[in-house]
Amino acid sequence: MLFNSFSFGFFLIITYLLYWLIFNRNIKVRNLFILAASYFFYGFWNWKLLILIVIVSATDFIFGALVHKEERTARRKLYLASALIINLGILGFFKYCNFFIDSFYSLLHLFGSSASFTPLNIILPVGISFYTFQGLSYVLDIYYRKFEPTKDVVAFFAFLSFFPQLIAGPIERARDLLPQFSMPKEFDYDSARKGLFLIAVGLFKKIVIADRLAIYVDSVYGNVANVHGLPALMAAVFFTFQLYLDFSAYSQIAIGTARLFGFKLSTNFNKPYLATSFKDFWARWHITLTNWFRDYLYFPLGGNRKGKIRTYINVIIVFTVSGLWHGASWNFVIWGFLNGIFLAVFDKAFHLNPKNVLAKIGSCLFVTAMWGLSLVFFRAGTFADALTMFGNLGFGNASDLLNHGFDKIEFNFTLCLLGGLMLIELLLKNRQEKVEDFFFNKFFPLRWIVYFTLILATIYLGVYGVGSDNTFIYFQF
Amino acid sequence: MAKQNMYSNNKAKGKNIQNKPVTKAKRPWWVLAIKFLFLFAVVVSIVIYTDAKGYFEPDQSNNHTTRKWDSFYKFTEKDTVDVVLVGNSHCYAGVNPKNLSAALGANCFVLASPSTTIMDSYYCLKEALERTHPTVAIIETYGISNSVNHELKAGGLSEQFKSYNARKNLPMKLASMPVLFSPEYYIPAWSKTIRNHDFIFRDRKQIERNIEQSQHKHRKKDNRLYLGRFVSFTTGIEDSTMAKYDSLGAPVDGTKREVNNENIKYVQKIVDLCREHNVTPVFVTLPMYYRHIENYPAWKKTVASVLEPTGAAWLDLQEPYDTATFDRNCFENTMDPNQHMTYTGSLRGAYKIAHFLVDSLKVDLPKRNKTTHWNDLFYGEEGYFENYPSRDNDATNVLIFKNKAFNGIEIADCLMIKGKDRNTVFVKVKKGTANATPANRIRLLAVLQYKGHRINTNLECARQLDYDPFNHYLYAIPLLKEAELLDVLEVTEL
Repeated sequence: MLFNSFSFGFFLIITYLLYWLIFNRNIKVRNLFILAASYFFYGFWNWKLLILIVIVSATDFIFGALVHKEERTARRKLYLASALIINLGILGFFKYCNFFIDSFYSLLHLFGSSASFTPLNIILPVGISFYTFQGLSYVLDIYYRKFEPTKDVVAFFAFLSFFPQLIAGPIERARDLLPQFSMPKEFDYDSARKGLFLIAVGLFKKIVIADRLAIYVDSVYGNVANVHGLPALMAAVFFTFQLYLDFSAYSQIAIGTARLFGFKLSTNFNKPYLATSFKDFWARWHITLTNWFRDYLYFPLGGNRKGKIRTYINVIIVFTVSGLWHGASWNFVIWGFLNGIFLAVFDKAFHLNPKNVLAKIGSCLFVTAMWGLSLVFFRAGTFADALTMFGNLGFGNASDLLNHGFDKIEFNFTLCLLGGLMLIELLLKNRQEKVEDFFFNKFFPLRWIVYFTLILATIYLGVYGVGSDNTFIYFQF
Repeated sequence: MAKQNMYSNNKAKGKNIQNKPVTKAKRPWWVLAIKFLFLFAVVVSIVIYTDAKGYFEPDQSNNHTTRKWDSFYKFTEKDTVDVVLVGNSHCYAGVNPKNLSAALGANCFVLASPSTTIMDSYYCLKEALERTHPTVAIIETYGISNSVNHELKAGGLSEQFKSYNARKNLPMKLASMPVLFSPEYYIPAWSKTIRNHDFIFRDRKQIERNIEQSQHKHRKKDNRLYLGRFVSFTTGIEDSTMAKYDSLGAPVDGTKREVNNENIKYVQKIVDLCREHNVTPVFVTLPMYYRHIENYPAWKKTVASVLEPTGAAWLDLQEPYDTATFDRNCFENTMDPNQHMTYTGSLRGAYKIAHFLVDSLKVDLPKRNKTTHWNDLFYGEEGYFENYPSRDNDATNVLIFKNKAFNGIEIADCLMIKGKDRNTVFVKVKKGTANATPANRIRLLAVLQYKGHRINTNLECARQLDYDPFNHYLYAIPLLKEAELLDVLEVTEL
């Protein structure tokens, strides 16, 4: 059940009505209802995979309690290790099994072996990377004595499977989200209204812009060898925006949906393409994942406390692992590694942090361009495709620009949308609260015009329907 | 700042009232729900408006499915359909309903639509039975497969949308929606705007045509009798395709044909539905060219395992295969597995079915051809003149002569039918009067009126159909609209 599907629309309306009409009168009953709705939402894809969520939830709940009770360090470590092994074991088996076996055989080939490998038929459970990481953060926080475990098993299971953020985050910390399951919920009109608005904006970004960009990007990346010059470059630029719009749209819909039910989720994106340094960029891009890796990998590795060289190494390790988290392929590993290098080299070595406006614009473009180039590895099907794509990037062959799914009108329309989006982000920078206050409280005709424009534009100008692949990019992770 | 705003400064106004926080009254969740509903209602109204205006209507020049249902509802306002046929493209390509009607002397209607499943056929039949009371329901068996409606992709789904849109019974459509579509397609099933909104970028010319059409308020009404015929193919299998059969073999393998439980369930539901309505269900397998399919017995076994338990009659025209009737002219020229019948095939298919109903099943159909109403309705339509005599007082068509003999050729009727774009000369030769093997063509020495000139000329008429049950061989030749046949002086066989 995708957020941008009619099924989800029906599901959300029914769940919302039942929630506020019937189930919100008692906390336990409410949590049970959220759990049931979340399992229904997940089971809609494949009900058999629900068993994995149950196993992960039970593991983290039990080991969280054991780690908390136990005073002996060795035992605590043992319990933590058990939780890590079960969580990462499940993730590793379902996501990385074929990758590791394939890599092993490739290594053997280097030594002259001719052994071959048939990939195992393993389904990748949707959202597995997200809910295992969310579950792990619960046990890790208890281990580090930052958080006390809950005794409410239903609340915990609901926390780990909360449908707005189950599939692709934001990856919430137990200390932020879990207590919200123990509090009575009173309907907050303003918050819910903003939630609905976020959903509408998210759907517009996903359906009208990101999925439109996907037409061009898919056309070029599906035929990498034969696309040269400007069309290839345009596809790289378009994918840079597609990924951002796709994922930030998902996060906005998730946050908006949670608000309808009285829950607050963490911000996941904050205008990343206005970042003026790589450090700044990662403080704005997929914030909850960045924070997860910072807290549970970068800091335990020593962070920046062990000298410059070690800091750089730690950064590169964290980003390489983050790349692997994204996908079981060397392309993702390289993508992560490259971003680690960018952060370590450009930010640390050259202290890229400009003060004047022109330099700011320059560094903003530089950061976005480097990020966009690294995304060629992210998007290309294989390592060879990525290299071919790099080889084909250029400014020539402009006449081929309109041979990839867009006619002139659609191409210009897409450019206008991207220009408009960046302009809005620029205008909102540092004044978001003021603008929101004006928009939601002061001038209702503007508000309603925006509502209608967003919805009608999504209906009439969106890319959806029979034959369209509208899956969110991050669902594959 | 925000805190300051929360308090009203009454002291400043000189009033001796204690400062109290002024908080917004809490609005309950249903206020948001009502506003959302309002927004939703306006948006839905706009979508319904563009739907009603037909701005996102796909090209309608080939939309025979909608035409079928429109015509069915119009026809059943006054008349009863005696034989209703459902199925997919094999059904409407393989049976000409007017020829079937003429042969049976009854009203036959094809309600088949392209690429649809047996589940769709069930709901089509169900809606048809709510509207009329047929004696026989014919179900083409090609739709009995392992298709699942909820798994239909682009092409099949589009056709399913068309079939669904064409139907008119609202409660029945609602009831069938969960079976025919996955929840994702509930809304697209109802709205062409939602389905075809991408015309804005992909087919703007179609939108322009639609807008132009929507401005023409008075459209011409089509009053011609339409019983669901749709001719997709007019020419038969060519030599090059015959050569491919030699080199590549048959493109269809009967062993690969499967039927799933859902299809079995709906076959039984169709039979039960028919029995509830006191209708005789007849399953018909229309043929593909015999060289187009291999291992047909395996396919037949699969279909038989589904049909036999129902106890319904089954006419399988694929096996035993009638090579004399279904020659290569009866089939679409293709190596695609999905081979349809041509116009010629549809005539022969119709007469084969007519024979089966009358001779084998002995179905008791109302003798509508005894009534003036029926004859008025069908007079001059396809199949009529093969089976019934022309009228002396034919106002539309020109009867040249009746019951005349030339060189031992006894002619029952010779008439000119006036068509929209052309005229056609029909010559009905009585069977058994000419040679034992009928000539493929006859020559008429005709007197024509053409642009004010009276001329004598030879017209070579081709034999239309050599398949019994007619009492006549039918020969025909098209004429220009401006040409009019005045007389025939001589008839010879060629």
